Amino acid sequence: MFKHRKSGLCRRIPGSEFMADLSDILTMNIDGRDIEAPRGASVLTAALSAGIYIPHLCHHPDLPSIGECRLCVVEIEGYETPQPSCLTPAGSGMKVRTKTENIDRKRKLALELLLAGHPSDCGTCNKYLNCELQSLKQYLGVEELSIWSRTKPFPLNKENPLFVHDFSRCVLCGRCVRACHDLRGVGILFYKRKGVETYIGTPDDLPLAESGCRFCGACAEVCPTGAIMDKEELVHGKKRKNALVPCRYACPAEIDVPRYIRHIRNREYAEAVAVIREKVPFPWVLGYVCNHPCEAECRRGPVNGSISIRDLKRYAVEHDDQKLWELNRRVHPPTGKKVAIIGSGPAGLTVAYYLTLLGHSVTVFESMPEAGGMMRYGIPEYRLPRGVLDSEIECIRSMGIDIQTGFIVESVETLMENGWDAAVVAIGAHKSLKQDIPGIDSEGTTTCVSFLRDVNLGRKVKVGKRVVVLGGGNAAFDCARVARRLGAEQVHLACIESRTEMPASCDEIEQGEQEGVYIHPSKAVRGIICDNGTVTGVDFVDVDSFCFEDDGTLELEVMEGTESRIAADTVILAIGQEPEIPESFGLDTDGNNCVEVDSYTLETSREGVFAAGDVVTRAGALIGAIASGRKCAIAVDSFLGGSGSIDEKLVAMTEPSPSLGLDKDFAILDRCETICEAPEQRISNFCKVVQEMDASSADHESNRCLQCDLRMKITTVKVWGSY
Amino acid sequence: MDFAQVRAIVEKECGYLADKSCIKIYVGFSPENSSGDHLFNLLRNEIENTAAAARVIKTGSFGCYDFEPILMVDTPGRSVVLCLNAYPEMATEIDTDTFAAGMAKRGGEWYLVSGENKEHIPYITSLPLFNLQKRILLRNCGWIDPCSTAHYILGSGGYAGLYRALRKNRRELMELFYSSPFQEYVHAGVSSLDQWSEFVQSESSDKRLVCNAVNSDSGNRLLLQSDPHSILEGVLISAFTLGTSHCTMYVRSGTRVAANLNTLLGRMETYNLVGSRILDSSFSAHLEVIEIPENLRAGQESESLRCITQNRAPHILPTFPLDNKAMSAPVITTNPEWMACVPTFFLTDEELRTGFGSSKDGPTRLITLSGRVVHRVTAEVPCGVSIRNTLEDIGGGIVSGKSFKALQIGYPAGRLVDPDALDDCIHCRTSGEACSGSASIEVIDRDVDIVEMARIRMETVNDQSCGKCLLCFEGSRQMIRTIERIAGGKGKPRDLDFLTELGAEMKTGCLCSFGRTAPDFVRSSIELFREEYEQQIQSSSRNVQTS
Repeated sequence: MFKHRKSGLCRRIPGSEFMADLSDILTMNIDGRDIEAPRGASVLTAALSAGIYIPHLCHHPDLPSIGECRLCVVEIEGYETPQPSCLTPAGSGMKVRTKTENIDRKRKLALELLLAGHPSDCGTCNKYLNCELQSLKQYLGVEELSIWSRTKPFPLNKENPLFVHDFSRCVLCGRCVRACHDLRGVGILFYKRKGVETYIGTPDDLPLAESGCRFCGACAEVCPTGAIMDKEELVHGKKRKNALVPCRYACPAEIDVPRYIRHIRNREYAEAVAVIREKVPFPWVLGYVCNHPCEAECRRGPVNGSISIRDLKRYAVEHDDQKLWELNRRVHPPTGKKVAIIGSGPAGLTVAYYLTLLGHSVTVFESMPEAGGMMRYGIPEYRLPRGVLDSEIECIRSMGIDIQTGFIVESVETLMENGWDAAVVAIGAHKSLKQDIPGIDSEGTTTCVSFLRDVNLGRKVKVGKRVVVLGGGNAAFDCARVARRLGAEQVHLACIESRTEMPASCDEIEQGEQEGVYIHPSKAVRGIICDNGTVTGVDFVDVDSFCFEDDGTLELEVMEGTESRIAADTVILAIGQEPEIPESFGLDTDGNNCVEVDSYTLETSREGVFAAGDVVTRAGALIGAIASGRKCAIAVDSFLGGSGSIDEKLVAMTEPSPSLGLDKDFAILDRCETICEAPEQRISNFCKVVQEMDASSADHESNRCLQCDLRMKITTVKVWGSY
Repeated sequence: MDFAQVRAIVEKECGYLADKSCIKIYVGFSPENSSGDHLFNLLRNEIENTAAAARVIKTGSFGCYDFEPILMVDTPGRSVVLCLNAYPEMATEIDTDTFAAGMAKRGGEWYLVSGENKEHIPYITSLPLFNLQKRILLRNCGWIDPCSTAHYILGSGGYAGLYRALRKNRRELMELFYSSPFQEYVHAGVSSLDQWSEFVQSESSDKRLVCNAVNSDSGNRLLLQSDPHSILEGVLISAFTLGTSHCTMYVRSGTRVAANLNTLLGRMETYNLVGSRILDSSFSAHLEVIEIPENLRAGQESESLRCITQNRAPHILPTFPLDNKAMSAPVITTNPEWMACVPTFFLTDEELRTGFGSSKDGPTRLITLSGRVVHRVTAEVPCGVSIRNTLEDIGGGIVSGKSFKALQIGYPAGRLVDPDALDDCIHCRTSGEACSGSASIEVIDRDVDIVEMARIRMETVNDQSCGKCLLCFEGSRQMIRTIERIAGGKGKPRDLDFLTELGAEMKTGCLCSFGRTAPDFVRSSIELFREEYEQQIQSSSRNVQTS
């Protein structure tokens, strides 16, 4: 050991004389109250946990304290000067006073220094009423400043995606810097000088995306004022969790997207699939054909393209060899209740699955030769391979559900009288809407539903050489692309929507065009031209604008003089579908021919009879039908006397690490687009169009996720009113 | 390559140093002095044109800024003479047989440093400017070329210290450090050597040594400009003692010092003075020079560390204890002054070029005199000399003979002391305040407006403030504004109370010692010269009344 000369100049570690007590909990006295505090806590956290408010600003429960703002000073017996309570460790037997004249004066001075560089107009700030500085002003009663105040001349910076920086409002509390460095381990924010003012900036003042920012939002979350905030248009009018983790809440079934993407990033595919299956029983099908509302809301979108969430889902399912979800699934004991489900589409099978999990005995009646509904008889095979569909349906059937195909249900009444305790109508929307235009019933015209059904039933369907499909949605594209595969030389698709308004998904449109479908947006049909009752062409006129009235009627403005004709020998009408509910069911319907249901319980006009899926919503998306099935299952189970709880826990919830680490190129990692087979290969068969994602793309894409759910885990600071 | 081989190589490069027939002329000046360059170029041209057996070398500054450029002529076998206030005209048409005699004919103040005194010029030690100094830290300043490692090795026993240190073991080295008079150096409020003992005991393999040369005050700046070699050597020796291989120096980017350090490092690598197996020993160290851009604030120890460890270190680091959980590896920070004296522990008195004949006893302080003093200098003064002596003998006394009003000790945030303090002795053990490692003494006479000076000082403080704690950054801005109001005739009596209160808050509340000493000038000026402030306030209220 070296001779250790103490110079007597060592700074005294405050509280060292109070450390004698070595137990884990110590007692101290604050403002005359005895409170208990855990060893290692600071005086401030001890007081706050005990419900005693000490004003603070730079302190944040998740960040290391630095004692910068000087608001939390308290008087401690044995110390000459007031000490910052966030830096002073709590000691056994300490006597603390948080309110004295001296302390009040110091706090007022500290607050005035904070406000001196801050704009005085609270009303125009987006953080109004949500601002810690404002609440401190109220608490300490500082309205007028006695010292000189100024506004820092920083312009509003909206150049970055997702966040707005207004450093004229910054009070230099340092929380964002600490969050970036210490909490997230990224470290791209620093104190910088600009003339006489200090601001927080990136090295070389580069935009966030070029500095290695992770866009995790921790800085915006901890900022106590309006200096760093989310862009208004992204959060306006939404509830906090919907705005901050939009993927999870855009999904109608609320699949925990960030959680399963994290598992994929860690190559834990079984766990990822289990997370997905906690909410939906068709992960593989969705991995092929979901219309991904989550991707539209993904916060990575404004940065450089949303995450390919659907493709990652598919990858996870196809690489899950452990089937953890099956091992952890818990089937409730039999309840003795019987439920009949009419229709084995996505909604019907989802209800079946959940009700079986809850212990009920379920029978599904399906009018078509095989189960699947629109998944089989609507969506073409090149989009959803039949092997995939069969496998997922088998998973459900193998739970002991009786699926009776080829069985048409005539009357619900009969069902209920035959000993079924409840029934669910999930017959979908299989009737094509027809337009009242001349020539609509000529030879060579057909509707989308019957066309696709015939093809999917394996029947021989004839299409001519020149096909015109009317409609702009996914169903219309299904028809167009199937027609190409059946040998049509020219396929035209015309719709009244403009190119950007077309309801079909972007990948459908893109793949359709690659396969040779000609798209004619903004065209309204004048009439179908026939010769001797056979279709020879379609007359169009250009659309100026259109809108749908509340009752569904179409208001169309056309541009006269823009008539055109496309020669055709086949016309397929794909302008929409509606349910066809048999009179014999005896159920009330609404103006759209959909079943009328109670919006909470999904019960129809007849007691004990419920409805789910397209029959209620009139042709929605697949994921919507599944979500509707979930809701219905909850309602049916409650009706049958159960708890109505279908939430499963198929995999342990692991606490994600808040530390992300620095990756300089994080924001420029490009999105992995779906790779498809070459169009020439595609149009001669019904083989699947998408290619397999490879492992490195899966790693790359899952790594791009901003992990927005971490932001929700940051402790919210309570203001004085909560104490 | 071991030391003997290194010496052989540099002897070839700097053969002229040992060459008995070559006259060596040293031109010493600091970068601000433009006539020094001119003189140097003229001399070089003369030598080339006349093909004389002489060599002119540009050395750094002696620290006597008011006397620059300083010319020294070393005629081997005869004498070393020195000329203060040399001017370019002295270099033209000189008699190349005897440079010194020739130039002396043209005038200038010539002094004898050593050797025969044929011309009967006064000895350099007759000048109190040099007599009172004990130049240990400044031993090489003005004598060697700051850009040439070879010159340092041959001309000043450079790296002999490193060579000898590498042959000792760490225990012996720490004892040497402890017993040196410079062990009193204090850093950021904590005794350096206590920090060092802790550091040595740490097991971490990532521990590192840092030399903070950003925002240097005048003494450190002088060393960096004129004798960077000792600093580099000191860093290496200290690294060996502490048992670390990571050394970092950081400087302001874009300066001449930064460029020079990088060049020197390159040379040192070729001489095997840095890198792996230094001088054929088992010690390897890499030394990094990192440049800090202008607008990134690097304040005291905490922020400096942030910059050097590529911004991975926590941005607020307590100075003591070192090895806490928030920091991944312990770090020792030093400043150039401390490092420059380390090589001297290993040199004998004879080897130690002490400049002007004084022996190796320390401790000394680098004092910079500025303000209303006759000679602006940076001098190295032994502890125990009184401030009065320093001012009058080295500094030449107050300008125009006016009486002292006050002194400011430390810059920019130093406190004012009144003339009673003139008889205080310069101490080495400082009170742990910032900027008092290299003290600067600014002389203030009766003509100086204290209020205006306070404002200027606070502007400098605010400019250097890193902005991390509001009290220092915002507090100094508020002080500036208040003083401006007072000076502009709009002051109110409660302004003084505000300044005092704010100052008291800053003293206890700021996060680093820079902030804690920031209000010193204003507080001490209010203490000593309250009436000046009150006068300006009263004049404003009088204005209000009459208007």
